Amino acid sequence: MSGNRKREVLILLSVGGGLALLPLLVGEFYLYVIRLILIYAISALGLNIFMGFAGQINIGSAGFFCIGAYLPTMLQIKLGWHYLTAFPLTVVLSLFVAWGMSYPLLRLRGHAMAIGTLSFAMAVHLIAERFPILTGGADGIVVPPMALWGRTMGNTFYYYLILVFTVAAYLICFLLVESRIGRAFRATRDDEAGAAAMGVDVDHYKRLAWVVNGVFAGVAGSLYAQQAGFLSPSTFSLWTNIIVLVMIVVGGLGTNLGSVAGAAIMTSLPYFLAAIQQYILLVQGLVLFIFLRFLPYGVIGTLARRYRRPLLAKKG
Amino acid sequence: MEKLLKDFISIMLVGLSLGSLFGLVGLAYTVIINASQLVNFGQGDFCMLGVAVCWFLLSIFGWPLWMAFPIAVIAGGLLGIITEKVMVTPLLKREVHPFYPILGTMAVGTIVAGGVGIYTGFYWMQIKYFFGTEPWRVKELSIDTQGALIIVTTLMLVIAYWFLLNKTRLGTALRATGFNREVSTLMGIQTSRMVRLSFVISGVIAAIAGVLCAPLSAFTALDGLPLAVSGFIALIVGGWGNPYAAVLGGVTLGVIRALLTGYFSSAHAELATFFVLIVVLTLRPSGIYAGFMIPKAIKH
Amino acid sequence: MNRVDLTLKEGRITALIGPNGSGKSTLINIISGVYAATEGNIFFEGKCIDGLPTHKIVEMGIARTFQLTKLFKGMTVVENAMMGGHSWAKAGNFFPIVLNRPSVRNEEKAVHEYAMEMLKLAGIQDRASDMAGNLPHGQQRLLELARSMATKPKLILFDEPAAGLNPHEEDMLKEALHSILRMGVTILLVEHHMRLVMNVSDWVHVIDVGCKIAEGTPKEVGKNPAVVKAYLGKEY
Repeated sequence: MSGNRKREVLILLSVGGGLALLPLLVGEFYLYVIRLILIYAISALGLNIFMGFAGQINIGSAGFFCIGAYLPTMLQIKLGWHYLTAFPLTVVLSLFVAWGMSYPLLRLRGHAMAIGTLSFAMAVHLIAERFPILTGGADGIVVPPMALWGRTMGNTFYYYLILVFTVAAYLICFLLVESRIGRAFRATRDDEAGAAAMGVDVDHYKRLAWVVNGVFAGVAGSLYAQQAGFLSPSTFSLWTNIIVLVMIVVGGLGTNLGSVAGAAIMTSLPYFLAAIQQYILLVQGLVLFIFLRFLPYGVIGTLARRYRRPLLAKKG
Repeated sequence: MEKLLKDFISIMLVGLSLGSLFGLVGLAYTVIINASQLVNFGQGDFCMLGVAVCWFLLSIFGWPLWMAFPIAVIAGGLLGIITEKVMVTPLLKREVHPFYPILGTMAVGTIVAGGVGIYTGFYWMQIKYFFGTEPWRVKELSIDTQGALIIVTTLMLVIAYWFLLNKTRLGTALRATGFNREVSTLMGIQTSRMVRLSFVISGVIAAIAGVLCAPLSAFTALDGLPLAVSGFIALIVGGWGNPYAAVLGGVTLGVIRALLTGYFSSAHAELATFFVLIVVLTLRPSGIYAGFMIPKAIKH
Repeated sequence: MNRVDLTLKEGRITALIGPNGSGKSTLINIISGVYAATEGNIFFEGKCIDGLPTHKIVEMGIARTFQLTKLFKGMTVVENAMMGGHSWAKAGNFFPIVLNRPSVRNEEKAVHEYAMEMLKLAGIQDRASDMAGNLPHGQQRLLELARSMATKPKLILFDEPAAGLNPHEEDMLKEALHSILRMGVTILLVEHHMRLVMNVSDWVHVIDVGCKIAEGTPKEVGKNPAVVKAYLGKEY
């Protein structure tokens, strides 16, 4: 077990190191795409904890993403806060909202939980669209650039900021998965009654996984807002909820590496397909379909099954 | 005072028609749930597909309504078969994450939405009122013809469904399959056909609902998912697994939304749906109309 | 269940037998908090445990196995056994884990070691790194036993552990039961398998249709006419 872990840490460090050197080597366009990939990777990692490891279902990722994007932005605009003070508050608020929403949402049976989470995202989107006081309304709002020590920060700064958070997020997930908590998650996924018989407080662990999911998505959202420079509610509309979902299915439900891989693939795909806006929805649907039906363990999951011990869930 | 009453009645009618749409979507969900314990999250897109096919035949081919409508309905049924055959049943057989069949139905819905969207440019698909926009005047009330048509059709569909389930052998087979699939198979019922049938019925109902409501609130390719959510909320609010409760739940939601839109704003109305969901889940999780029309023998 | 009165002697094996449908599994479900009793109380070490949720009952020291194994098929055999450590090795909370504190790492080692010991007790330590779902049926049941023992219980409730075991596996089960007794753990054995029960138990309760019909040593109960009738019908 520890041999595998050491290997994974080494991979993480080398990839992280490589990414850190990238701004010296490639142009702004590639850095832009990688920034997006890393942001979505954080969101995907969080969703994967809740869905892949704890075995629940959440199709409302855009909800926390939206909250995480708007909150620090509005705090900066309306109250003149600095991003670095607004950010911790965002984390705390995401935590509270997630914790609060867990009570009605996590009691639901599978399908109802799916719709419940989607409704949550729908409600957040509605609020963002119809209550301009909170979000600057449907036309969108410009995100003030971050300033540190009197200088406005540029894209390279954002790149490193995002990279740090992504590596941190990955490390957290990595440590969680093979720990007592990670085992409790997987036990809940595999057999709730069996988990209870092992002393696992199933409700508590579902809640914990959900909160992790929400906080990760909130963090990703706030990073997204900062580096995008402009926010509008349409970025968080109903259909955007499936984006992260497709990512973790493509990468492989139940593997951290898969979440990152899925984020990489699905984020860069539109750029390879000449970014025809209209086709994106259809492509997402097709990709989801193909992977669910033919490659259910995702890219990383299928590779893992072939080359080393399975990392994944199998339905019991 | 009279004006208030008139306003109230027209709002109620809008609410009833809108609610019927939600209710029919809820009914469509329940048909599948009752036969197979599955939830088809592409349900809203089934409605949207019906609208798209009908609009296409009407606008591009210039077909008359009486020809386009049945084709649209058939399209709905076909999508049901496709979803079941291509996505759901294969996934059920494999050992994958327990939510894969649900995600699979969403994938199908997304493909349909994406495909229609590309063709229509995500623009509105206008369908004209069936009987013309002149409202029907009864005494001093003017009743919207399309709204009335929706309400009447909903009643007919619910009665037809009740008849199918309770008075035909096919209906009994459907109910048996949902109740206990293994035993039904042992008793000679072709359960996989029953499941397929439930998808077809659900697709047909969804398409009818969509086309009937499209004149009132134009559909775009993206409207499937919000409708799927509202329909499902109708189902939860009304009563899980009970088709009549689902319809009532939908009507209740529709009326609440219409009232809020009429007296406050549509933003409030849409948020209210979510609010009602939370309230129902907290106070009466089995649904407001949970026991409605379920024979006492099954209730325990 | 109707007025079942059961007292378990500490450190012994008490068996609960009865024909199919007599309510044996129901009793286990009630004790372990899965179902709530409408009347009556359950006392463990002098404390009333009615109405406690299952995971709290595990923390108090009562473990159970399931008639249809509820193994975690997405995890390996040893990971399943390590689940047992969840209730007594609690240093692994969110922040200690993500900060990779030594207390957490040491605890993981301890949990792993104890899990391996329990696998040895059940005789399946060789399959430690296999996926739990890949084990043959008999070994899956032994894994159920190992993982329940890994919770360090004071009392363990076995729900038909011998069902579907071949004679070799049955012997391993018997060995395991004896080892468990040697550790000082009290056992309630709910079984249908007469030979095992008579061989292994110190005291037997018999229930039928939810009511207790007899109680005594295995020999006494075996001769009790009411018991024979319940099992074999009126012909005898």
